[in-house]
Amino acid sequence: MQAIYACLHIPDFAAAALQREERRLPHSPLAVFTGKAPHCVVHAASAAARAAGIREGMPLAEARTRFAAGPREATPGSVLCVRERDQAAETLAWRETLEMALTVSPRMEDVQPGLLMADFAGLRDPHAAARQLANGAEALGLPGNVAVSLNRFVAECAARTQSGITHVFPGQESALLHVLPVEFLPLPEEARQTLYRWGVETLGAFAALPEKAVVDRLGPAATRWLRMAHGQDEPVFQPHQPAEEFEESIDFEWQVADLESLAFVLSSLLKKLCDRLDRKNLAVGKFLLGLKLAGGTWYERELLLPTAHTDTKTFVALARLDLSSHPPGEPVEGIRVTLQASPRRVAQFSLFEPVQPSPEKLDVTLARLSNLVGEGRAGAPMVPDSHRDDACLVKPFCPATRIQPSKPRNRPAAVPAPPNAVREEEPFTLRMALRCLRPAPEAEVRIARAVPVHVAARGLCNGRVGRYAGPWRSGGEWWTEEEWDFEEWDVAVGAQLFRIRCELPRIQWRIAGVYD
Amino acid sequence: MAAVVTIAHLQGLLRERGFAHSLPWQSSRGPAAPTAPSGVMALDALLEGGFARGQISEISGALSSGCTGAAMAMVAAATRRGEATAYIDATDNFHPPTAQQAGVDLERLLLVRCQWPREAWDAVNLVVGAGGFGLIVLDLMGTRSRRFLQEWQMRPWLKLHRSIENSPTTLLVAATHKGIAAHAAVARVEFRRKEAQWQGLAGVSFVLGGMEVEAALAYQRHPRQGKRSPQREQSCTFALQVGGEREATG
Repeated sequence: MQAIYACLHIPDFAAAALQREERRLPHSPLAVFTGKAPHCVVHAASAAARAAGIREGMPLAEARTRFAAGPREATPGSVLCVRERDQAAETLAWRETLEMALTVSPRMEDVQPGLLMADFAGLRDPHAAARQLANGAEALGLPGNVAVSLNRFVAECAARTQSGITHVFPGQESALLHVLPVEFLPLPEEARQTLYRWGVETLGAFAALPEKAVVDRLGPAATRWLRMAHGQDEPVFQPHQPAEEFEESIDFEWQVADLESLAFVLSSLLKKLCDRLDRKNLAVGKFLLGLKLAGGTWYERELLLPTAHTDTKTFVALARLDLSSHPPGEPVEGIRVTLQASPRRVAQFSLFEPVQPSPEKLDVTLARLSNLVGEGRAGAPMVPDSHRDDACLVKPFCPATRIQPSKPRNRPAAVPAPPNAVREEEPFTLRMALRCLRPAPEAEVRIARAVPVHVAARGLCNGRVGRYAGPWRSGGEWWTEEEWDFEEWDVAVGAQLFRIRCELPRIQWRIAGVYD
Repeated sequence: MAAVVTIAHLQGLLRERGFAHSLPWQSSRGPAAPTAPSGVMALDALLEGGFARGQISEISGALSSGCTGAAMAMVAAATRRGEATAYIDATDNFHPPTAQQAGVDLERLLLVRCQWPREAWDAVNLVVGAGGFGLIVLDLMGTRSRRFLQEWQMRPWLKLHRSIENSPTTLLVAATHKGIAAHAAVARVEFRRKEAQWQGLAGVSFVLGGMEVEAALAYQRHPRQGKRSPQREQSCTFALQVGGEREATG
């Protein structure tokens, strides 16, 4: 069946959502800003404010000045209303718009806030449906433009440029598109600059270029852009599906205080939810566990899973581990389990790549390790954004979900390296490792002629400094109470190489680490 | 006969030049056990391909002997092969910037920062139980208590060995004392610092450039034969450089 696309575009959606919230705003020009003073910039502006020359990205001070100095004939005596962006109002407004659109057509795509695409194929009267869509948006306090076309890109362009309801009939696409600027195409900045240098400003001028020459210069993606400029592109429609809640709860007839009984009930609840997710080909991304305590309060725990799956046994094990390390402290009268659905893992293990840990086993292992060594001490290490040697952070470890960069298609496929081979793309330099001592032990350092000559630290070293290098000054976090200011030296004491530091301004020497 | 001699000669040449791991078989012992290259060519030549997979190996040396640098090179090599690796740090001495400079892909490394050294045994058992790791490094270099190390010698290493047997996992134990896992380890390499390299002019722009390390193979057991090979006087040297650039201010 031929698709009939209808696009609803609500211009300046952020401003429209605010005007909808505050009923008195619609009559006055409105500028919505983001950022903190004095660096506020205009994020969106109402039509009346645009008429006075206010645009997105403009500093707020400039917008005020421009409005004050601008032509006042259109809105005599009006005052520019300035409001901070309200994302909650935008989310609410957009959710209501999507619900309204679903009453018009069951097939609808949420492109971005302020722009949605509906498929009217199969509807008895697409023109009446377009009117219904426009009226519905108007009734919500979000007046928008609706355009209907057999081509999706044409419908979107028409909704963005034409006010009211527009029908673009077959054969009229080129006439509409050819006068529009090339900015309507989803071009990367580099391609946009290239077209600017060529003097190509409109879709018509771009469509007139020979395809082969354009593809040679702009790459394979140019084929699609040309088809869009001709009004021939047919992208994949991604229907919007309202979020479904996966929640199960149970109230006990008596109070439960032991973990075994809780785990038994939890297992049956999770089984039901995981079966539902399995039927929808979804997996669990986040696991929220709520325990209703004897006092009537709720004790809530949130378990983040590095990899999405639906293995009930794993979830029960994770919940048991979490509750054993964070017990609720009171008997439990009820359980509520909420699972946040996420797409299933799509990465497939390669035949030529080494074996990776099973995600289900890894989740439990990481939880057990966290139980053993403490939270935030087991995971993939990160290089901290600090010059402090002893800074060390970890993040969730999930090696299997890493996506390998795809290889260019025009190159011949490389022969897979044998499993034992070390890849030779980059030079492999052998490095000395610094073993950081946490906490850094205190040291007694004797200084002569402004250099350390003797270092003594209990259980580590006690001797003359053979050779030394330094000092290196480093400091940071002077804007907090954790301010630090170090003077560091590399010294050889006996057979060992140390990094020592003097903490300023107290002149406290410590052994920062050992080179090994 | 001539062909056998020629093959042996070619194998010898490959070993001399550090390509022992590329040999498809070890003629004197039958099929070779799979190995994990250490990332240090000289060490791979010494170990005839690298540390054995599915086995426990031991590296030892005093602090500043290059033992941690060699372990880091091995982790870097494993992550570059795309293997998941784990680093059980018994004394929380891991320094992420130097690991990154050594070429470690930190995304593929599971770091366990133990609060107390005794937690390391349970941690290594948990990681081994998860399976799928190409390399697990148990770093006991920071522990200097003799009593603690004696306790570790009494641990059920053979049980741990059976857990990784027939898997692609290499368990590398790094310690300042020798023989922590002596009855289960198939190889032990001892590290010794030959000399530190200082660069520049003393007092003006002097920096620690690196160090030269000597690695000696204390013993190596062929896993399939279950018997120690005669102890050989084998050693190699390699250089470790300091990562990152430091500029002396005088």
